[in-house]
Amino acid sequence: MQNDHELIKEYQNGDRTAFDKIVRRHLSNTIGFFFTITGDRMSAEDLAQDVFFKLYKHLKNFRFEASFSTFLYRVNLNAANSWLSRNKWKNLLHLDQAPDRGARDTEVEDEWNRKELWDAIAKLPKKQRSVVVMRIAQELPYEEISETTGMSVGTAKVNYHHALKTLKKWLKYD
Amino acid sequence: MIELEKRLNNTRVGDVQKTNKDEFLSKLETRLQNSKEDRRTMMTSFTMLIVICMLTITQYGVPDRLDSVYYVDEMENLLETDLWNISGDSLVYDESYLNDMAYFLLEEGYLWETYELINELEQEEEI
Repeated sequence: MQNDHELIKEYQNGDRTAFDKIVRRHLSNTIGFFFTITGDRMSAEDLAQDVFFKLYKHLKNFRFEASFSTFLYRVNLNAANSWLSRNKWKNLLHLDQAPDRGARDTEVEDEWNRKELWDAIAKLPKKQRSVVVMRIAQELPYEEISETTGMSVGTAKVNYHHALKTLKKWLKYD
Repeated sequence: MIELEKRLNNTRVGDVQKTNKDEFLSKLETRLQNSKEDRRTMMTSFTMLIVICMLTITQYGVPDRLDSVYYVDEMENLLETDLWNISGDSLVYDESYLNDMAYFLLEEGYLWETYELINELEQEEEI
């Protein structure tokens, strides 16, 4: 089985099917990442479309300096950050649509919890938000977060700690 | 902190296996094709705009002799009246004046008027 770099080389040499193989290989994980953030399958698929559309153009100039997965995490993170920023303003305008907190329906309650959490994450400063997104939605170790975001491992840890502290305050955890 | 982390981790979906990959790829292909067509349309529009701007600036195709456009007006401005409405007997004017007039009209490029003038003079002489 060919690895990612071999497939990218083939794609750069004009083999379009190699790109399709890359998409097939990373699609589930990418949609899962966006599904965690958006909580909506359609939005997750749209964001994944955006990501692979960008990859189609940028992979022609891929320089093999980093692993493809790190490159993909970076593109995913940028798309997620844009989506969260866009939705931060949208949510401000739709506060009245929040589900009834007294509802006993577990599914609705779960969805509300999820939404409340990710709305709070969207309000974090960009560095803290990036670390939380990578850590939670992608389950990445600090070393990989450091490689993807360009900050040191220590800085990533500090940012994560600060992010949790802020979230705890905002979500009123004792 | 631990409880919050647990709650955060519970929102994780992980891999989504149910995605129809063929359908996804077909949508992506359509989007790429549309993007290519949009780019081609943009390029064509931009080229046409450049050509129109160039033609406007250089005034390509505009007639270089403006007197052919404003022929009638200019004739009236030049002579202030037309030759057919001169009140008076043309024989009253001496021959040198009429010759000068004919040369003047020829030099200015009014061939038809010159011909008319000569023709009129011949008719007058015959009478």
